[in-house]
Amino acid sequence: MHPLAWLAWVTLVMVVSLTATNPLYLVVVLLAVVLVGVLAPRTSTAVAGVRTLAMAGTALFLMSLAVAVLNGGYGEHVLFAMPGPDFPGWMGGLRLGGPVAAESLVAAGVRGLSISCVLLAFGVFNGAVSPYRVLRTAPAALFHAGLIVTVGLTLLPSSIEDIRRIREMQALRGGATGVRNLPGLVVPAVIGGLERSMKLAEAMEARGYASAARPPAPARLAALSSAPLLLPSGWAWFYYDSARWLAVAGAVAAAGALLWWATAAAKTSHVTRFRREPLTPIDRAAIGGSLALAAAAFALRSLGAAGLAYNPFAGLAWPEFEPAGALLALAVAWPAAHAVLLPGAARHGELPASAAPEGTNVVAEVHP
Amino acid sequence: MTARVSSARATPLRLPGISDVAFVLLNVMGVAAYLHPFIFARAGNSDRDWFSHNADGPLVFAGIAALCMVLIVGELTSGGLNSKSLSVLGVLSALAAVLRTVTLPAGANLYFFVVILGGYTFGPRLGFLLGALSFFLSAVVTGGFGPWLPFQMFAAAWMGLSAGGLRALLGGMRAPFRAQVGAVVAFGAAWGLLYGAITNLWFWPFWVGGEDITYQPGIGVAEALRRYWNFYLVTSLGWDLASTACNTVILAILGAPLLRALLRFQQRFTWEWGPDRDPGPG
Amino acid sequence: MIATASGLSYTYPAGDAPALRDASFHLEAGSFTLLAGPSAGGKSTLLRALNGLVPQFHGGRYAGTVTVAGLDAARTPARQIALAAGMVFQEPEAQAVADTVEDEVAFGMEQHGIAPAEMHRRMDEVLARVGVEHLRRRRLSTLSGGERQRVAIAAVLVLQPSLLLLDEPTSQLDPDGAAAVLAAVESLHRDRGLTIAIAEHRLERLLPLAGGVLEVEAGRVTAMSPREAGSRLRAVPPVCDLARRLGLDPMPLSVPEAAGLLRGHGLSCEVAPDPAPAGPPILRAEGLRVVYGELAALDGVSLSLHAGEVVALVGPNGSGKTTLFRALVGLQKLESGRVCHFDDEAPAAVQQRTAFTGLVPQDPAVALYHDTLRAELADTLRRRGHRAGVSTTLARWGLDPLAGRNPRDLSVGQQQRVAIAAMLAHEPPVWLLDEPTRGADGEAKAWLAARLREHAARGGAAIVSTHDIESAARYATRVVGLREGRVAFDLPAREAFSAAGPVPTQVARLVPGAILPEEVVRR
Repeated sequence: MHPLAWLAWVTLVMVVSLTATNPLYLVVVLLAVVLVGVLAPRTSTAVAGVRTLAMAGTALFLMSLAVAVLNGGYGEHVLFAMPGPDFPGWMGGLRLGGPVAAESLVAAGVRGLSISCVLLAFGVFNGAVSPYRVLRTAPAALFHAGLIVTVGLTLLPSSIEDIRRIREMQALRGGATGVRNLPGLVVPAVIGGLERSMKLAEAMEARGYASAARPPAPARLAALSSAPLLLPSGWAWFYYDSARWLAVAGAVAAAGALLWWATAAAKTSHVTRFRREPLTPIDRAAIGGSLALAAAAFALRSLGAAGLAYNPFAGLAWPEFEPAGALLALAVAWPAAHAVLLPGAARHGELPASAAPEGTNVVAEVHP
Repeated sequence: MTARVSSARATPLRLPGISDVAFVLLNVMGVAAYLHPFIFARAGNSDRDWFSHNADGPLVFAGIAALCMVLIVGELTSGGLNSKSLSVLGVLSALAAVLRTVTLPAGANLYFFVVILGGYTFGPRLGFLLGALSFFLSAVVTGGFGPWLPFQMFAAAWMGLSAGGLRALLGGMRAPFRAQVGAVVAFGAAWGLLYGAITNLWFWPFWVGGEDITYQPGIGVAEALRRYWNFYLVTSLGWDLASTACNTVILAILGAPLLRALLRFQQRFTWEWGPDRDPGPG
Repeated sequence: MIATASGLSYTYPAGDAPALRDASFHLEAGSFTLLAGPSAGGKSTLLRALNGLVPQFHGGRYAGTVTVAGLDAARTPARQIALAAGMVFQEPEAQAVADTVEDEVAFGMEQHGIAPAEMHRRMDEVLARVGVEHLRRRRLSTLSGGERQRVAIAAVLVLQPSLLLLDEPTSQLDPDGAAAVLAAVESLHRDRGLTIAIAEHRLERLLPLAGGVLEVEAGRVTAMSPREAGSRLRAVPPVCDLARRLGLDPMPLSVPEAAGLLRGHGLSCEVAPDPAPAGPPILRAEGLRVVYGELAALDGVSLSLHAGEVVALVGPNGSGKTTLFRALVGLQKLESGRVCHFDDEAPAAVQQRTAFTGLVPQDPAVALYHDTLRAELADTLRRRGHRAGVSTTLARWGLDPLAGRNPRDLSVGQQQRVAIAAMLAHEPPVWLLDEPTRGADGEAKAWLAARLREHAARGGAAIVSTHDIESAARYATRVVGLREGRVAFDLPAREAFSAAGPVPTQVARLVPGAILPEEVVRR
């Protein structure tokens, strides 16, 4: 599956789980993400990320609940009261303890659930797509930024090795470890790194490195105008129901400007790419479908349809469960279907396992 | 034919015209996207409804922040980025990513020094790129892509950017080396807290707690600030204070030797040869 | 004529002396030119002037003209020169841009905007030509130095330059890696007629191949033939040294050639016998065993070292030399066995053990970080709690002239010396040196040999791991060979370096009984 398709999927999960406040749908989304995580290929070197983010998601969920208990004054259905200290006024009038309302607990649980979905989805994304593939898909306008990151990634193993060797060497010189001897570790590492950077720059120059040409001024101005267009559009969309058409117009204009900029940058660019990962028709369909579903989620949410919105503060009722909303939540699982139906395509673009030995995650081994 | 070295004093990224406008404007937009809970705090919203929009709203603003970041990075890395700047950025980002994994007492981190001292040495624009890209790199390594990434990148980028500004300020005052080191240490300590406050901000609107702590559209700027302060107090102030203390100690130890090494290197970094300048016999 | 330089003078921006002085020379198309001379003599600068990095990248003062394939090297953008003159640098790690072999090789083509189909065609061709096709999907960080250097050559060749410049491409490599790289270079020259200019210290391998030699010393360039080089250069292979002493004509460039010339000459040798080691061993290792996972890196190594001994530790890569050193100083955990200083078990802590047994790892210069050499040495002495004056230490290492200099400003060879002095400033009785002569020029090797002999004469002892048999013959009193984690042989130096021994020197193969050129006399 193409990195862009994965990106579209992550966006879809984000949009659905943050627009839906209906806990029933959120549970469906969570299960769908877990399903994708289980079935999707784990090709990246950053597999540790999945576990970390899954744990972070759970921790955040529990923490939301804990804070809601400690400081959960919203709502009328008071369940019980917590004892707590009084803080002085200069601290901003913070209150800990006191009555705990059911509404607060439910709201915290719902939000914790959405955040867990997002974290988990990014965990799956990080595990499934190697950073090199992400960098390769960067548009022409970001080629040189991608090059900096590639150079950084390439130098990681030797930077780790340098730091390890310097530490060992200071120990051989009879150095005690500790904060006072930190200069002996960090200063040579930085100096050595900078000297290496000059050698590298020389080597790049000798192989024909050229700085990126700038896209023509009108395209750059257009790109520049997109942010000032989008910001008020977002504002209008969320806070002024009557100005929504204006917000949509602004967003469309901004998207057009950005597209123009990206195309112009691609045309000005002098570089070609050795490795291009083409978008297959299936990838295209997946991207289109994901974006359409995300748009549908936004639309359903603004129309108040399909029971996406659930507000515990408007009376504690059992959330609705409608087929449209449930299907939307279930659709989030599409990469799982992709992995099952097209097992070969899922691995497309990755190095064979034997050629991609443990690389970037050795970082974790450096400890003083 | 003879020519002499022209030692360019300014940073190698010299961006006139559109670039300057873009850099400033997009940074302002980034700040605005960042601070949306305060800027939009006055927007009207019925009291009961706040729960509806404080999750998808921030999502959209995170997207806008990400876009600003992409545009700034795209603008900065086109046109003037020579091979020396590129490889220095690559090397320092790699080093920062590695040093980020070196854990010190109380969560203090060597990562900050690379960004602060790098920004101080190479100027605001390279400082901005260094902060942003080193964070991106370390996210790549640790599998930390997520909606929080643009915000973290901005926070780190502003750290590098302002470090470059600090040098310009001190240079204007012709500060001696020791004063510069002192200023950098104080600056690093301040950023320790600021960084925590900034990076916690992205998450705040998603948070649901009590009335003293939860973001709610329509509460007004003062109230939003008060609640954010509470949020920061509960979630991270203690931790940030401890790590800032450690950062300060470490920066005090490392600042002088590292800065001396970097400034020495920077002279080499700015050597350029212009065959058309100074054609006379030398 | 593919490249010409006339009246080329150049000074680096921070340099006080010119790096090149009024150099004039030319390179014929299809020629193979060797750049010889001491390190920091100007070889690297000369190569950089040929592809425009000097002065375009480095700045500085520049006079004269250099023309490469019809381009003015000082004014044509380096990007354009890259298509005519490709350059391979010394360190494999410091010239890689990308993560995998293919991406690395593709970088130059991408930057020149070459069409994807053409890129794939050139990629296949070039990878096959330097013999790294089987590595194409590998990560660079998993390759050996020799493989990485061949990838670097491929990355340059893919732009189809007509001139290939190589700046000491094998100085960081072990003999096998170096041989593979030089073989690749040789076949590019022989089979494809590529013009080669290569700076190297491994003259014995390259003199027979070269069509011409440029001697670069103190910035002055002198062109000569390889045979002239054999008789005129300051540092020459032992064969040439021997031929010079005996006044042979023509100058032989290889051992077989010399053997032919020497037939019929009555030669013998004068040798002072090595004193036999006396007293108890000062360092003793008993049955050292180190296991990495499944693999035994050291499999029962026993070794004892007496005062006055300098042991050369030889063996192929991966035979356990570095592991043995690490085990001796306590950096490596032992599966079994023990290390004794005199009769007592050595202390466990690395810091205490290195007070007695100082270890200098490979590339020690990476750990230098002070502003002056004086501060660097004072740091080691302070860490060791020594009261001894820095000045005495400086004098003993012959480094007083450099005392106030910043170690980072020194040449690579000087840095190496400074680093060795910094690691051993506290004068431990036992020195362990891990490949100290890698990439060193003749002068640096002579310096090290002198320090080792002084140390032994003062009653110290040393173990030096090396691939460089010829310079080991100048300081070693004993040779220990490791193979697959075991001691393969442990012989007195004279026996080991002799024609019948496991590591014969060039001279030993020509004159029975002798191992060094100066030992040979006419009968």
